[in-house]
Amino acid sequence: MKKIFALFTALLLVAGSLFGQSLSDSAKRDALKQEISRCDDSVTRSFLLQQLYPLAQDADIALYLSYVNDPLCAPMSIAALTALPGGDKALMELVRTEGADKTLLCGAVADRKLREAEPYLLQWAQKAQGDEKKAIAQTLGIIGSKASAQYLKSQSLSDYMALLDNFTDKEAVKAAKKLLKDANSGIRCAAVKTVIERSAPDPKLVVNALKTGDRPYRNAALAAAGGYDTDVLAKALGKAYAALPADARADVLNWVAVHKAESALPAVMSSVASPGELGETAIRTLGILGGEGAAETLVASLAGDKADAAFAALATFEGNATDAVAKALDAPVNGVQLENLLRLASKRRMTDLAPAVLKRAASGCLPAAEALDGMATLAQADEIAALLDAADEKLVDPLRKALAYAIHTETPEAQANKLKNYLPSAVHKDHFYPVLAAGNSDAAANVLREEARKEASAREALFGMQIPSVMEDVLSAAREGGKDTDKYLGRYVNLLSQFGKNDASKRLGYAEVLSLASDPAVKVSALGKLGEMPLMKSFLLAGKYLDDNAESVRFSAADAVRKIASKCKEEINYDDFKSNLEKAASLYRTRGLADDGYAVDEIGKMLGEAKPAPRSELTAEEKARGFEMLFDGSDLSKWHGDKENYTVVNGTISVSADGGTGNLYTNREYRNFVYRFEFCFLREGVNSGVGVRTPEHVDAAYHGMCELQILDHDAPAYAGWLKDYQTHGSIYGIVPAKRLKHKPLGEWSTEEIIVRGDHITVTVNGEVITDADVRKVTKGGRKPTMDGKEHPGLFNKKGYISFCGHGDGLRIRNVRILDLGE
Amino acid sequence: MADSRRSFLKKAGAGIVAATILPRNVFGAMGGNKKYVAPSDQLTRGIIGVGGIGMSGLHFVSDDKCRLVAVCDVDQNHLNRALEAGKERFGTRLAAYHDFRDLIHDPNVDIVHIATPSHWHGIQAVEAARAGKDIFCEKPMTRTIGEGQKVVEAVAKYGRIFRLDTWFRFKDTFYGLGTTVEPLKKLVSSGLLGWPLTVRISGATGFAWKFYWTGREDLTPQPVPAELDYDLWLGPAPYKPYHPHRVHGTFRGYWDYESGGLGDMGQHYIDPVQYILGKDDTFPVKVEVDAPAQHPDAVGTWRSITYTYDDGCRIILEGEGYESPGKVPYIEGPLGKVYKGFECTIPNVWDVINSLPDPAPRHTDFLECVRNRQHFALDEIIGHHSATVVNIGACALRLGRTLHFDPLTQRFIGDDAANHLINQPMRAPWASMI
Repeated sequence: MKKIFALFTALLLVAGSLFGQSLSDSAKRDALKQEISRCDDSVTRSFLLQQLYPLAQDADIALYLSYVNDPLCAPMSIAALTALPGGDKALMELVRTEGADKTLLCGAVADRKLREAEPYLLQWAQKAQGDEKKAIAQTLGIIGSKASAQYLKSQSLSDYMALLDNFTDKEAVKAAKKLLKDANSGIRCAAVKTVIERSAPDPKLVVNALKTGDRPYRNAALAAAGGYDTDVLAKALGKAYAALPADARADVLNWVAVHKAESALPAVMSSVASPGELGETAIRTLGILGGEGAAETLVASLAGDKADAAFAALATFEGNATDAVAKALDAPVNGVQLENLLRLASKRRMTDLAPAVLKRAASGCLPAAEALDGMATLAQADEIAALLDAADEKLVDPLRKALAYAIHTETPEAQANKLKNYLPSAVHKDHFYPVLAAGNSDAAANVLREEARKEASAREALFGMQIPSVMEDVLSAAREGGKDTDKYLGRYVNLLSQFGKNDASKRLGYAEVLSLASDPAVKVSALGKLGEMPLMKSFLLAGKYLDDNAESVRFSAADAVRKIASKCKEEINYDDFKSNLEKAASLYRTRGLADDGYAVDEIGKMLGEAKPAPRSELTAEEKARGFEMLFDGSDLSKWHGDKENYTVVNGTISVSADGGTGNLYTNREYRNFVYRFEFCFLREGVNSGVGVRTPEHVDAAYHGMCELQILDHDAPAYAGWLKDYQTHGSIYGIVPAKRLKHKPLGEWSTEEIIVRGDHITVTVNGEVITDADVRKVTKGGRKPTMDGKEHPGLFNKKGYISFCGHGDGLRIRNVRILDLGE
Repeated sequence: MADSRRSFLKKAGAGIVAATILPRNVFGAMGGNKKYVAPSDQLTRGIIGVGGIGMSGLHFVSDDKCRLVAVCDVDQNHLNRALEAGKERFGTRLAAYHDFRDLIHDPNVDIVHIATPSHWHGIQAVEAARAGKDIFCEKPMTRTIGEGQKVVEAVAKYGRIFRLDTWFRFKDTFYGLGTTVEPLKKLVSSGLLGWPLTVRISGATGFAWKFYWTGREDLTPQPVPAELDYDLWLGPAPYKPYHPHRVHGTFRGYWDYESGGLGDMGQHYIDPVQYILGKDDTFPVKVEVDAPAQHPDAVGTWRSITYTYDDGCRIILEGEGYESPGKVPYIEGPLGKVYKGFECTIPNVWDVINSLPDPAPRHTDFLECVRNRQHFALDEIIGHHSATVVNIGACALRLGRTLHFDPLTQRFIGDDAANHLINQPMRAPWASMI
């Protein structure tokens, strides 16, 4: 058995690779057939036959037939015979000879509707037990004739009901009538459907069904009358309606609603006032039918115990309800109706009714004030503003919304201006600030900033706005410290995630939030946002919080590093990748929630795929000559400068996406030297350089001896305007290099720079591209340089060697130096 | 009668209850032409499959409206856990079944809740309908197009009420949209976005595809644990040597049982779109896939699946490693676009939406539907339509090519292999049970 399983696994892999290629169907089919013929265990063979199944053709019938007695392969064989046009004959032969599992054959016979199988199945039935017996009955129900009737009637009524489909209408109806009171609800329903569907249309049949107490049965009868003329049936139902029990009337009304049977309107109207389900169904149906008087009736129902149903009906009502609402609003029956009318007027945006509603709001009616949000127009704005200024606590918020709605069609500037004009005379200015804030415009923010100098509530409103310009306000408030720091940081996270300029500024913002916040919830939200930025630096930042004191923060950090690791297209340094993900995995293991297992699996998969980068080593020649390794892939301990933007990533120095204008310097100064390194470009147009004999924090091209260009000069962006002295390897501004052709992006090049006295040699990929004595070229500094600029550092005797970043996309590795001394 | 049943339930020992209470479906027959007497407003329910979904807080419930009376599972541990929980939470001794047919035919069960892996849904739903039971079925509705057709037929024939369990077409915030689908339905119906429309179901529009539902290609056979009846767990599915990753929480990653994240989330995401676009009675005519070739056993990932309807409307599923560049709209027509969070290019769009009547009313209370015998808002017909959208996508993925579909015959056009996938091999005896 073990061997079989091993084979199966192996075959899965074979088949996997088979399907991994984009083979044509016929090539796949040939390959599968070949594998099947070689295969000597049925587990594997059944799997291969399953794969062959969709591609099978009539020519494969013999192949499938040869496995029809293998229990594992038989399902595929029978399925293929069922699906193939030429399979019927073979199936019938199997039936005649009992040549395969009978339940499988039954399934096939039913699917193919092989009526000639009936006598055989009936014969099988005599001795069959259990599943086989069930299978035979079910199949006979589908393909059988009257010959099966007796047997099915005694064995399985559900199959007998199916069998009636094969009878003449008269026979079927006669048989079904005997089952109208069967114990099984499904049989009763099927029976009444058969009677109604297969008799000549006769509304009486439906009406009689409705007189029973069997609700599934009644509704099956109504569903069966789908072929009836709607009007004719509706009239018959209408006539019988009053005599039916309440829930049968509800059935009728539901039928009326589905069929939009307008002629049944009187019946519907007669039940609107009924209690319970019937009344609610009538209201619902009336809403769907519409028609004369419908709106008025529904509006009247807003006063009673079925107000919710009436409201729902009016919300979906397609006709004009405004007039009815207006009329009722003048003299509402009771408080319930008034409230519902107001809600409806607002929901359906009945702006014509706004003046009337405003009048009610002015007299302190809360629902009226609430309703104005949704129906008020500019014409009411001033009046609402006056109400708002004087409003008591309860009405302030609804009236704020009402005012905002009244002016919402104006431009943001006009809105801010309008609101601003209310302020000087307002007694309660704080009633207006949130309205300004809700406008979320810069114009409104400016008004609020002005106000915030005097009013704390204006500042609160300002900080609640959702626009980019508020970020600054909120952040500086958070920086001030105090009890609201966390609150403001929380808002800042929210704003930053929506409006942050770019990934770098967002990341720096989240970093600041994480360092300032004390509330774990704020940190959690910042880490959540960070997790959505699949970048190397957000990975490192989130990783710092895997050890946070708060559990929620630790898990948010774990989620963030896992998400970033799975999506990040930037390379992440292996050591950081590994240590952060391992920490995250151990967190998930301790918690053990439903998805944590997946998280651990996912991390395991990612770690399995990641590999540590190899370290660079000096060659034998370099060792012999006394070279020193400056960067072997592990760390930047022999360097100083901008280590924020020059980071170690998998054995390389990576110049990162944000910032990237800083420089990285050797720890020591050098005079004469041989300097070797490898570089590659990750994107088009990378621009950097090697500073030679340079002081710190100056432009090496002028204040150092020189800058030797590192430039992807092949990029189309430089075409046409790049100067000769700017190409890769040039002594910038002074000596052009021989123009080389760069390797494709991502491929490594070697470079050697030899500086000896005033002489500089640059060799890239074994080819010397610069070989010049700068003293000679500039005639000791007397001759103007090619770029016409002063180069005061040109004759520096010593200085640092640097990488001069002018943006991202450069990778450097294997940096070595031979100090040639004086 | 209603009262006596209820009070009896309270007093009686649970073991006796299971054998004594008369289920609702028996009473109708006694009614005849006499006045109908309601036995009780209380319905009863049995759950097939008490794994993750069946035991979830959403479904493992029992209350006055609908009492949980029976559970079924092929894993004895699951079954024991459910019985314990039943005792603890509801003070009930639930009837416990190993074979789902015994639960379906338990006369105490009114509603059969199908919470098994989807390769079982079709067979179990048809069996329940034949037994005269109403059905609450978890998504996705069925694993093949053919099984879905059989469910539709059986439910109609035996006059049953069916609910497919996804719900965004009628309630809850619809993922990236940030609102329910109702306002979008109104906006689309108003014609303001123009026609035809393109819908993008993508990480970029706030709809994540769960690609952790992928299968493993390196399974080595393991011994079947004693508590699991693996043969019955497989049921109609072809025999494959057991591995724990094939069953329970991770079965979705294998074509034999489901179709990965597409199967899991597809109907959740696509069903509401069929509603929004007014496509509940039709199907796409074309499906295109951009995906790596799929392993024959383990479901893999895909970059995109694009469905096109005969009127030019499209649904684009954007999966792994594929997202349209820049900001993409969730729905887009010639006259307007709606982005994630319902950001819309039409000025003051909410004024327009709010001024329109709400969409036509639907029945969204399943128990109410069982009582008044009305079609649920997501019934077997609608469910079959959206499940089929998922399933034709799965067929195209497995075959790795564009497929054309005929909405009238529900068959693929000019592709025998695809048509062979409409019905798939089933083991004995299940091939004959649907």
